[in-house]
Amino acid sequence: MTCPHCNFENPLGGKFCSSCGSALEKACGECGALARPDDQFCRACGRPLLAAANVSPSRQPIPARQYSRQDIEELLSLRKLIRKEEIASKTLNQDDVDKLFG
Amino acid sequence: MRLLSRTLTMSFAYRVLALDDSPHFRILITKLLKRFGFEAVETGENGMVGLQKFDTFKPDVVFLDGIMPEMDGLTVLRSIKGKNHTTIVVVTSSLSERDKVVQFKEGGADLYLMKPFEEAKFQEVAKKVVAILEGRSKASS
Repeated sequence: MTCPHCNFENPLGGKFCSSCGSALEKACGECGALARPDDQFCRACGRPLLAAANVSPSRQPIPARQYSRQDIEELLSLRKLIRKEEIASKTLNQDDVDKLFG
Repeated sequence: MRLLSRTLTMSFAYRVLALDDSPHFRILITKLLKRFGFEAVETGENGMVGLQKFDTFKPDVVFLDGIMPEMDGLTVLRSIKGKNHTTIVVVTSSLSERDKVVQFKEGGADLYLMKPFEEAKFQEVAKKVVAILEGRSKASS
């Protein structure tokens, strides 16, 4: 589905643009039925759809952030650390086992 | 695994069944158990054989491998505890995932000895087993 805000081609099924965060569907203010962003009238109840309903306040487009190489390296090392901690939290050593068995 | 040269002089009449699919481990644990003082030691190579021997040998303690062919350790554990919940079951396994260990705990395992282990750790576990059994003997006498 093409984003009405940035024209990014999104995979089907998403509610928000994965590029800019804009809503890819809007709800009819009258009956609540979902509509495509470029629909002018609700297919369910025929009421006019407001353009303002296109983007919810909490989903206003977020400007793309530029990451430096240092930022990327920090994020990658953070991700590695989180993975290590996830693995460590799921596996036990003999001391942990002894505590578990009292 | 490092074997200590120290020979223990204690002797226990408790019957021990050790179930493990590794023949080397069965030899090793038999040696360790006898060195510790357990005189009646029987072994089995899988869960099915283990349960048959459990019925005939009537062990006080079972050292149970977590992963075995024919029938996995958790199933054997549940079956043993269903037959006789007073039998002490020590799981000897390399499984270290919390979920797996908790499953054995919830299945009724009394102790869990993680492989590989040092002989000192084995002796610590064996002492706990004897303490439980002797505590029961005193309580019933």
